[in-house]
Amino acid sequence: MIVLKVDNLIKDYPTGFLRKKVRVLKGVSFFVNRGEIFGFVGPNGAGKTTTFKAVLGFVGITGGSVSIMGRPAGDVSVKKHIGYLPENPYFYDYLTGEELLRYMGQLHGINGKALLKRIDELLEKVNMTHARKVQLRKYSKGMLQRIGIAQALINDPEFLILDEPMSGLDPIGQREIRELILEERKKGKTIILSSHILSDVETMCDRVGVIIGGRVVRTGELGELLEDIHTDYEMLLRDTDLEVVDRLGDLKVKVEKRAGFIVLRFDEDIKSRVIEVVSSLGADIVSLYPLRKSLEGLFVKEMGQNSGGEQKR
Amino acid sequence: MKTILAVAYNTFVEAKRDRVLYSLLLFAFLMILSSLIFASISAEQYNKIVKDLGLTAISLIGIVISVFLGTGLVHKEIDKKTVYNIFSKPVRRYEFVVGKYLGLSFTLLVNTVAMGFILFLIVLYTELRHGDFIRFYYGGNYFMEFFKAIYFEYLEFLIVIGIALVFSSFTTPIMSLLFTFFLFVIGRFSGDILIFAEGVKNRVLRGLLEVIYRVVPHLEKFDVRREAVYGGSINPELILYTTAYAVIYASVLVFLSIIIFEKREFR
Ligand SMILES: Nc1ncnc2c1ncn2[C@@H]1O[C@H](COP(=O)(O)OP(=O)(O)OP(=O)(O)O)[C@@H](O)[C@H]1O
Ligand SMILES: [Mg+2]
Repeated sequence: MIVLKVDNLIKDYPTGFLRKKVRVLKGVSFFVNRGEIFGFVGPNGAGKTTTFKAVLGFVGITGGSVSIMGRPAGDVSVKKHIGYLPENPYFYDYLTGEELLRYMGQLHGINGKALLKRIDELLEKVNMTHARKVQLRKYSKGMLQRIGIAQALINDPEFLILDEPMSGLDPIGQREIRELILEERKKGKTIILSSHILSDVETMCDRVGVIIGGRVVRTGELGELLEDIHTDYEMLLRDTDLEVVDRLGDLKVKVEKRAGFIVLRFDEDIKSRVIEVVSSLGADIVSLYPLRKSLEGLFVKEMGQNSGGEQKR
Repeated sequence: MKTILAVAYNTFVEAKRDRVLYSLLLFAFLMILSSLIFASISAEQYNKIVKDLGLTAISLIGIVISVFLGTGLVHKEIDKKTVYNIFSKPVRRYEFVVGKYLGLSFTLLVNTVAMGFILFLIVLYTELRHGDFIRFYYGGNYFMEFFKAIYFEYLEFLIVIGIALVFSSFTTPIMSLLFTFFLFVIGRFSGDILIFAEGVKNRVLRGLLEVIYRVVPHLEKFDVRREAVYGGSINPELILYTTAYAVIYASVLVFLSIIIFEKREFR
């Protein structure tokens, strides 16, 4: 079942004094299946946040269509089942964390004991119980992010829309939120998240959409997308194994000395050949690692292909 | 309805935490200061001055709060992007606008009642001090007119908040501040527009002035200080009529704000 379907979504923003139109979304299409985590990735200014705003009805849509849980964009009735974390959560800075959650809960029609219980639960979950009585103006960026995630979950939503959920969090916080998101999926919830932390997207998301210059250029399962992505690898050898270098022969390998190690750099294609040669000589391999995260490779490739004509519009 | 109340309550909390109610201290201070200044004149005169001054101060402070908070009412939430939180919840745009309006109206109600009470105590004190106890005791009506005047002032705030809300839903706080103040002043002197129009020979211009007269709020209707301070009575029909006028006029303004706000994009 499809929870969110965005079809050829177009969005113009008027800019400047003359209200000249700028096309920010140029035909965004993708869908999110029930029960999956969908990663929405793309460079700054690609249109991720704008897509979310259009889906939620904060801005009107110029063209195309959106169907969210079977209803059009911005439909009030489906919002009962949605949780949204804005990009940089701004809140009422005169409220305490607890009061904010209470207000947000009331807007969902949750009241009384049920609400109090839910607030306790969520504060515990995002590790903010200690700051529940502190005004939001005194929160740090990461604390705001945590309370932002808590308010998105207040109604135990079926569908979570998270705009950069990891931003501003320390490593422990990132891990906690990662676990929290995975836990929601385990409960059968659907999640779409945008992120610049590609390793997170790689480890969490079932499917990914790559948006560049207002267009979704690729969508699909991560494995599929990464199939034809080539990455450079680096292999670290002990300095004593210098003879290896001669034996590599016609393989395209860059050799470099670095801090007491020999570093070999080569394309993914010949990885197994290199390993073969090196281990046949009994050389001491310290480590072998890809130079770029694989999604990043996809990113760079797609940007290369799509930047030419697109940016000039 | 619950949504509207939640929004209204939050608006009230914001005003409270913004220290709006400190205006009460300012009011009390002003009143005590003036009573010191006018201490030397006759008791009869003195009572009138305290009342007149008090009612004027309540009106002034209330108008200032209405204009300043009213013009930021909607704009601030868009500017600070808190609308993203509100409208990702099942909240309709009209519920938000109505909630904001009611929240500020309630803030002013609390504030006005408190100022009225302070003034009442001061007047009571001066009357007692001047040995006018008998008149106070038997003259319930006399005090009623005084409370009616405060009620009328509050009705005026309801309209001013509405004006501020309309502007606040499509323009910047500075512009809405200017527009609201401008319309407020015109409203206070709306009677003069008609008088002025009668002297104008040009038909088109006169027609235009008459239209303006019909459209702008007739805020001088809400000034019954003369009756309250110098005797005279405010009859029930007038109260009813003025209340209806304020409620209808304010409702139209809120309705207008909703229409504007419905189309607004949160970018
Ligand atoms: N209010 C606005 N008015 C005009 N243009 C806007 C507005 N908001 C965003 N844009 C433009 O729309 C484009 C997409 O912005 P958007 O915020 O959707 O990008 P994003 O993919 O979320 O980027 P980031 O990764 O930096 O969050 C950008 O080019 C931006 O300049
Ligand atoms: Mg963004």
